[in-house]
Amino acid sequence: MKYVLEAQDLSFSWQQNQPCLFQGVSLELAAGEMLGITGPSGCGKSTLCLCLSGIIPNHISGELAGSVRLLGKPISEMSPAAVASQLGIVFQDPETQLFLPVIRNELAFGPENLCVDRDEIARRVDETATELGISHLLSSAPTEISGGQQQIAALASVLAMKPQVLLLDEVTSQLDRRSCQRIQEIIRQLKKQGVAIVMVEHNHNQLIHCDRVFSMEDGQLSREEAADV
Amino acid sequence: MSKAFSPPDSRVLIMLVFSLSAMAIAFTDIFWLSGLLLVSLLALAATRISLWRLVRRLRRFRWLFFILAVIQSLTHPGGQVFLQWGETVLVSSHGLLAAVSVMLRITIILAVVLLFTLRDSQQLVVGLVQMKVPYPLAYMVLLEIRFIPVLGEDFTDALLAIQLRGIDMKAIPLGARFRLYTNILLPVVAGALIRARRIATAMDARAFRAYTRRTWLDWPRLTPGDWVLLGGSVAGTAIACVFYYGGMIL
Repeated sequence: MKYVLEAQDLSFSWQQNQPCLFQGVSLELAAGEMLGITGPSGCGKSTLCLCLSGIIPNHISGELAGSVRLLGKPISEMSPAAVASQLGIVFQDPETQLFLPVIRNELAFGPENLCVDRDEIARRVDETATELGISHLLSSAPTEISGGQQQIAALASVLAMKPQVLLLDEVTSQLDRRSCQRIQEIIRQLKKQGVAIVMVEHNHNQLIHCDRVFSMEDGQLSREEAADV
Repeated sequence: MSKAFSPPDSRVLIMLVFSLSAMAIAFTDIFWLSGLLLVSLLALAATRISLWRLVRRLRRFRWLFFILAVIQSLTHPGGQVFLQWGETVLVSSHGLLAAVSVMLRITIILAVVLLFTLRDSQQLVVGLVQMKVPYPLAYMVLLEIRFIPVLGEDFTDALLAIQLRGIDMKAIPLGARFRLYTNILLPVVAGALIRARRIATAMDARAFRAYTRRTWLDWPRLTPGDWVLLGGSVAGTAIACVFYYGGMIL
């Protein structure tokens, strides 16, 4: 089976001579597959996401051992543009992801950085906003909308880049039940479209659409249970 | 039916603000500074920016005005002496003129900066990039503009949190209050730096700086009116500088 994302024997510590936050982490993800990672707060789930996305060690320093391959290529050898055009990451806190004056600018930001043609950017912005039901928010400032809407906007800003792999780091942590359901529906649609998804959550209920669920505890990643496929 | 007001292009606003504030800093003559203030107020009126906004800003800086006026008065003791303490001249005509010119300078800068509120920060970034500023640098300016009020809000929130724990700020002696402010400032600044780092990470994750150039969804063109304003501000600045530095001071 051809995997879009593979991690082999990953170990990480923030500094040399410090105990590892996690070690021996290996996982594979195929197109259209969804993998859940759960575990208590502070166990290293978000840091694992940063390692899988190449942000560690490319943008944030740390002691990383092992390898991550994106579409068969070592992520450490790929250019930032190549990584960002294939892999998108949505963080827990939308406030630190939305920094432009209006949501429309946010959706355009990623494709603009990837030098996508202007007409194509406009098409992607409209299409993504329509798919995620936020067309009416395109002219709103991120500070004017609710936390749930901010989270959907943050997700939309990544989806506008058309990634093949999507890392979701506790994206439902600040949301009410209705917004959670909305995000779950969006994720289910993305999975159907063939997007490979890693969903990090401390709440098991949010991992209902995952094909495999792993638990992270004491620096080890272990297969937990079979969720509905 | 009145035509809807369309603000000038970001590049025109940047040029106007830059030229007026640069002249306000460079010129020392009080009549020239008064003229610059008049032009600045006319620019605000023409762009339908309420002068009350300027008044509110000036009120916020009233202590700075007072302190600067005293410093200028003490450091420019020439001319007619109005108040003296022993050998030290406290208030003189030269000192007062210097104080007035400093006040005029600050007023001009506070007034022209209001022109930036006609466009949002993204439009100003595009304007800077169209003026050949590298886009990472332009975004850095945008984030700084965004962070200054956020820092103020965080500081106010921290003060409010302290008051909600039952501490009456007004009852605290001035010295203790100052220590409290300094104690709050460090975690607030540290928090802002952590947030800035998170934003930088999120930007990099969305391919920021992946290429030396990027495309833009909105890339406005200058209208004939913008060209007139741009040409007018460049020509006006050049003429003013020639007259001022050419010895033709009013």
